[in-house]
Amino acid sequence: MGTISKATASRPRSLADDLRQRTDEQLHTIFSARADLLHPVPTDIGQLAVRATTSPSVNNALDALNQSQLSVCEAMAGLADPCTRTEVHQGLANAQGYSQDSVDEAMAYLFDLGLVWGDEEELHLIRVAREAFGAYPCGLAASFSDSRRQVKEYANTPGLVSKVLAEGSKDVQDIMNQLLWDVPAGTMRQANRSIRIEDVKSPLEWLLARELLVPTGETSVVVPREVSLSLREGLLIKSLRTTATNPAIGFVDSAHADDAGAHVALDFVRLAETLLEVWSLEPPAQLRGGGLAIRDLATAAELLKVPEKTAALVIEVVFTAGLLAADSGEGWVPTTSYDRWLGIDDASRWAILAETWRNMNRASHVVGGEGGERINALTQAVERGFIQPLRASILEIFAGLDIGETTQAHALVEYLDWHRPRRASQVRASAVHAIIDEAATIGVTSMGTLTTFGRAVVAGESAATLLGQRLPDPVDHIIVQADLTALAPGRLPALPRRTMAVLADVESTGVATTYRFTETSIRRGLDQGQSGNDIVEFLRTLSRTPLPQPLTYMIEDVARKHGVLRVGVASIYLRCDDQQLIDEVQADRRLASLRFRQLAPGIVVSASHADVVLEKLRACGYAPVAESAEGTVLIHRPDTKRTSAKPPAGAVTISGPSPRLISSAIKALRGGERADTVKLAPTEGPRGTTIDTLNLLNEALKGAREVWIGYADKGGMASERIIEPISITGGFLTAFDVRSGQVQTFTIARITGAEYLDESNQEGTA
Amino acid sequence: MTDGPLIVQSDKTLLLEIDHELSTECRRAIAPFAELERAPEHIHTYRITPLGLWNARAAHHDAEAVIDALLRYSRYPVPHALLVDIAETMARYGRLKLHMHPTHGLVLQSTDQSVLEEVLRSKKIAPLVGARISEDIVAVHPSERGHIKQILLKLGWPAEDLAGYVDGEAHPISLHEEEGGWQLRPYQREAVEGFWHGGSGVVVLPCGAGKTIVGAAAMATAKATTLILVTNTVSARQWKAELLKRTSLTEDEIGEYSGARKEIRPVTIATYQVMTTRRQGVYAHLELFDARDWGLIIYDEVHLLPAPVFRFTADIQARRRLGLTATLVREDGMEGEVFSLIGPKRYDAPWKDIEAQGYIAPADCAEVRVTLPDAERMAYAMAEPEERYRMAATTSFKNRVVEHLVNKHPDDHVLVIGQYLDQLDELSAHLNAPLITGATPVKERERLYQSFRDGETRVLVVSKVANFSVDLPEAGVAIQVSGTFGSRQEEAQRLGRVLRPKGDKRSAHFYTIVTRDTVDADFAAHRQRFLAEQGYAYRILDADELLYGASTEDPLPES
Repeated sequence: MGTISKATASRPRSLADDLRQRTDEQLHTIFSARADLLHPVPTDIGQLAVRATTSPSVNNALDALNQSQLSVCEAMAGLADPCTRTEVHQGLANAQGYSQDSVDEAMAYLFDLGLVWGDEEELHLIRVAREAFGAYPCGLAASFSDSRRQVKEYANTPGLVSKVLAEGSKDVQDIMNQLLWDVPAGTMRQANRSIRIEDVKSPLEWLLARELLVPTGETSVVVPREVSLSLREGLLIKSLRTTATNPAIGFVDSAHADDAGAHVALDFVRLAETLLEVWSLEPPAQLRGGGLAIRDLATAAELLKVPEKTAALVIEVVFTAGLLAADSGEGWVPTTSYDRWLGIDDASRWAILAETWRNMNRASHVVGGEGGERINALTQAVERGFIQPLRASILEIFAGLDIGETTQAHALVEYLDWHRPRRASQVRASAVHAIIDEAATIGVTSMGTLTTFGRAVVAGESAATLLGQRLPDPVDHIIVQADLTALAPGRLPALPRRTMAVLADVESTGVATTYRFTETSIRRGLDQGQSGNDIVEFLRTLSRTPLPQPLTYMIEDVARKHGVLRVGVASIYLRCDDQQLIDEVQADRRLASLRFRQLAPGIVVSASHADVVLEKLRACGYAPVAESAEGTVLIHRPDTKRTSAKPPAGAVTISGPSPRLISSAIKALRGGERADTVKLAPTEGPRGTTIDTLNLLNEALKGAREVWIGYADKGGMASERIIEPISITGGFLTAFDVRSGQVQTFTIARITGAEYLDESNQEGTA
Repeated sequence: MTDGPLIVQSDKTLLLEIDHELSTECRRAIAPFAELERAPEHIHTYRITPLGLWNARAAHHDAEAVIDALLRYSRYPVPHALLVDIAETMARYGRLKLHMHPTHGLVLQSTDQSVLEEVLRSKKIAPLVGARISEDIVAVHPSERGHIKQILLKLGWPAEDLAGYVDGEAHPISLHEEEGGWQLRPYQREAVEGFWHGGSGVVVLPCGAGKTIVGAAAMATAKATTLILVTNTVSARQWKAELLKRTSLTEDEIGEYSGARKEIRPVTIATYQVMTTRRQGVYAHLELFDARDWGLIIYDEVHLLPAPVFRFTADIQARRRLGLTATLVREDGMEGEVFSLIGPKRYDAPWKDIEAQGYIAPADCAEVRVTLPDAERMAYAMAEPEERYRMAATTSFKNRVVEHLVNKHPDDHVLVIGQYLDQLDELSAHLNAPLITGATPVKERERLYQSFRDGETRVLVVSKVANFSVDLPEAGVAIQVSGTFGSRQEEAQRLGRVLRPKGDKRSAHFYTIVTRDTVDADFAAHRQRFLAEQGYAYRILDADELLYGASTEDPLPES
């Protein structure tokens, strides 16, 4: 960090002047601290100085100051411009927490940023920065020494203000105390009159009469800067917080935290898997405006047995990780990446989710609503630009703690408030709380400290191996019990886990899983193509204990009933009491295309349409009749169709589109085409003298030709258009803008040049 | 990571592997705060509920002990959030205390002012409290002691009731252990001690484990006049007989307050039915609660306590209350009312534990599946939904199965239990056995029971009147043909009929006959859940195999 230069003969006269004198290294410092100055790269120092004093850039720079730097900056804003280094020190020397070094350091930093320029003896804080502290920086109003005799005396006689004030009543002193540190201004009626000391009737009049308050308008008064400073004994700011609070507030056994965190991490992976497995089969609908319905979120929370906040986090993370996407027909469905994700081990799966969370710019905690606004999950409204940087800085603070040191949300809020005081807000504080909760829900942190695998996620290193070491070994068996439940006493490998999820209902989840077999769940297995024996065999192999008789009985019982009733689709049936005739029809080659299938004696079905079957049968010499749903014979007579009477509609003359409409439409079409081809041309448009331009435009107007022009808008931004001139009057060109399809008016003076389109086109393509 | 017997799930269930060498030790450690949900053969499931944690707090277990137990026995790391939740939930109990203020009477006091503010802001609490005495104390109308506890529990801030109990009118009662040549069993003694130290509360013991004796021992400890509330008249007589046998009480000291008789004596046994009888919309027998200065009130079968009795109970919170039950499972989900009005659970022992100690007989449970004959299947398919259970449960095919089973156990006393009277009539005729229903006069019932006890009658057909509290010491076989739909507690009660220890230590048999592929089977599955969870494994037998011996080996063990 640099220091402020000593007073020299070549004292800079402006920021630009100062910047010109700075070394490359110093300029490098500015650019690295204020990246916005680089976009776009300024062409010269003059431009840099202009850019560095614009309001957005200065406010960005102020936002990045810490509490100590910001206080020093305010102190400089509170002093007259220019001020000296000594004045700054004098104004802060009595402040709580003052240290010479820290103030010097802060001043040097402000100088480095280009917020302050000049030398020790003549320091300038740039105007925008000064204004950022409002009308009364340091709670000081303007100076009145020049206009008010009494005020001047106050300024020149130390202790005089206190002496005068001591004569006042308690009310008078209370008023002055109130105006001393915060806003030094107030309102009163008829402030702007002269009051003699003898006529004083109220405490405010008492103060006005003695010029301890000075009117600044019809109804407003302020405490002159001289009065405030005299009462404060020159102090600009009451207290300086030169160092940040320590975010570490406790200590835990890190091995313990890791174990507990691994548990949580596994749970989080399980939540994601459970949710996506269910959504694979019953995807929730996508709202018309995008996103997930509040109701579906509640259902998901119920399914996962977690609060809605957690469900929202899971949903947002799997979405950002690309495991879930909207499918126009189906709603929200898992993606093919989900299948790949399923195939890898738990630890790697967690690492993907945790890294996604670290990088995502979505704030799942706002789902449901924030400040009265309803926000659905999976919509754009969940995006928050500040959330990713904030999450990163929180994780950085965590990573800065010693192993096992813990912190909590309130300590982090306090810490961040010191580091970025201008960004402190309720929104940030609640986001900090949410981020801490999320980190703990995912297992990046545990018991208030980073887990070792969480630390790897923060550092961008591979977390999977570290987590893998902490995870309990997968188990390869279940324990089946006579009450028709089964327990997997740990994590089953993916394949048996999926089969078990089909064959039984999950009752309790965690490290272990309890399953309950029901007739419905067994039937589900049978429906998916397993036989009763398959199921028993699968369970027998997987179970460490012998299968209890009630379970095998139930499986066999369900299997026995399974598929006894058959459901199929047939479009028509053919029934006949004469089996001989049915056999004949079935055997008839001419009717093979109808693909009759016999269901029972005397009944065959076909997937063909009834009319077709009737027709074909008749064609082949049979004499079928149609039957209604109730079994009665349908007599078929060709229907003569009628509709209900309607009043005659009034005569409508259909007129074609106006020729003008058609030509405009064609122009717009052609314009669009041409606009595409012209993309190859330089984007700034042609350049030429105004006379040439005017001539060409007039010519084009006569010939109704299209012209390519360069045009500068009010802000000086150059653009190029394709137009067809309509009229030229009084310095204005009215023309049809081919690309936008609209008639527009252009100021001729701002047309930078014009060319016929066909020529320029050739140029562009040449 | 230890290799403990316990798996702590993030959804607050605890899975205990009972074959593990530490399982007994672990069970003892977690029993005070976790509710046993299922106890099948390999893995027992416990659940941590707020009520369970508060029960533990009431028994002076602190959160540290709970967390320590989980950490010590857990096989895997315990979810941190769960531990935090346990500590927070347990800390909620006792923030509010009800006690007697020397000058202001009953007061609600808080160690945490914000909690008091929070509950006082509740609209439901406002009418129950009086003047604010100081920042952390508010007066409570003495008559609202029960209501305020109920509502505070619902608000999640259960109050610790330290307001004490009235001693009631003293009355000498002692146990006749030496004279009768019997002794309190160790678990019965623990149950009574647990109850007495807690002041009020519920003792959970399996049917046949001697709950009446626990009641008698509680009375002998209280040595005060006692009101006993039981389910029905037969049960009342049973209690009386038991008390005469086990205690120093004499015939004159015990009154019966039922539909038939209205005696109020130092020990009075009343039925729930008479207590809930209304005349012109008014509960006519409420004054019984105030008829004497009762020192102890015993609620038998507390899981059946009717809602009005809860309301009366709310008004008598100054009296000691003992609830007895085999299961805290209530079909109506009013477990919270039991907690706040009767009191926390003071003692609990799983059935299988007591069976292992030899105090109840081991039981062999079997479900026999019959198939509806084709004609009945048709009728069943067309039946109205409300008729279906009756139709399926009363299929006459069951009669043959019952007959077969009765013959299978020639040396045992057999109870045939059912729900529908025509079915029971038919069975009674088929088996040539006497029938007891609600219509049977009490005298006749007692005669039949006595004859059954004496061995003159071997088979008895009974309706649901025999579900509760009837002492049938030597019934070794129960055959259930139909029931009250899917009632889990009824199943448990019926099994209890055969669980009294047998003289020769043989095991009891419990058959339930179920019609396959009908609602009967669905209800049966539901009914069996509680017992299966208690470790009673049902074998499933096929009626056809049973009757015609289709399988080579006999599926029934010889008794």
